[in-house]
Amino acid sequence: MTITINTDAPAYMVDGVLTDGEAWVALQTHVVSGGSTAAITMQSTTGANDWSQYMDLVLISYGRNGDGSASVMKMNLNNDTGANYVKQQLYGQGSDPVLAATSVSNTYLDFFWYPPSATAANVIACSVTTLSDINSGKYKSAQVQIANSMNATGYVAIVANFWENQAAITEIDLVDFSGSNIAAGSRFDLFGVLPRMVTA
Amino acid sequence: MEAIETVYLEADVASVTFDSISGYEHLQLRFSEKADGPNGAVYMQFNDDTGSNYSYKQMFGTAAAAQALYGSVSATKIALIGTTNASASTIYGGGIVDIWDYANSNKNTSVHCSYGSRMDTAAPFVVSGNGVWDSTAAVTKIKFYEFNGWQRGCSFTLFGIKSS
Repeated sequence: MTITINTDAPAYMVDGVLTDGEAWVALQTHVVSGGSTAAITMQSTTGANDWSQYMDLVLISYGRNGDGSASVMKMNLNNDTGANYVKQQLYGQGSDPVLAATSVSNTYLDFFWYPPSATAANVIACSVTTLSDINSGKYKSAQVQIANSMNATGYVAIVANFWENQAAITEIDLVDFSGSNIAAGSRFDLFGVLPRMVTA
Repeated sequence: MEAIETVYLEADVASVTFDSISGYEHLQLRFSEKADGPNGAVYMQFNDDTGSNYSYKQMFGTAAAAQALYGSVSATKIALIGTTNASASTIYGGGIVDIWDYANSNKNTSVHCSYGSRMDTAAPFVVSGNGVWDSTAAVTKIKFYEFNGWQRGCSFTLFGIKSS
């Protein structure tokens, strides 16, 4: 596993003065290298990687299952694995009609569908997950877009998730649905999105 | 991408407007929303145009039903159905609206939106939609409003994306 975490001083602060910089800040990159790995853990730390300064977090996921048959990865926030997640999804597969599904007692945030290990080599899925207003006292919401190809069968999905907890998000854990490993070459990039408070 | 302005609502309001938006290629609005009443929708208008110059279409899902479509042409605004109105004070929805090439005076302006909301405690809602403003005028003002108004605690941040 190769992990890069940006703990530099925030770029919007230069010699103690606020500046208008890039609103998207690269926080962490996790690349599965060598053998496969069982879990990805991202935590708020210091400097640019102190998540308390951001409005949203955006996670870009790109990977596949390393040695199992599951096609879903799970996200848990702040180590909460209770039935505190709600989701609504809309998805299409092949030429079938688009379908919807819901769950109001999920134990994870549904953020990534990816190819099982038996899928043809070099088939990789991707998703973009936005976690909104992560430091507010609201229940947290997340919007997900997924593109997944499993051999000749493609999936496309949008998923709305809600984590029924008012805590600020300080940790993200990513694991395979059935406990398999994540394949080498998979990568997960986390970005912070800054606000700009010019209006009361 | 640069953050242009964040509006955080400390009281209920009818609408949020952005009018200092020049200098970018594209715009992106990221929001955390909650409506002040039931059966609402996110509405958008540009440059104070209230004429029948907008079109929109959305695909949305709720519960286990097959996807549904919702749209209109010659509308007086772009409507993005399904804002959050859950009674619990902690429940807000979130979304993203992209406004492409908004300053180009040779094209009509198009937008894309994706968001998730909760109509009540047990009814999440997911939407992917688009809209068009049938005008070639450069967008200089964006009004973002809700059928019943926005509740305290909503936040709206407009970002600008520059070209290379």
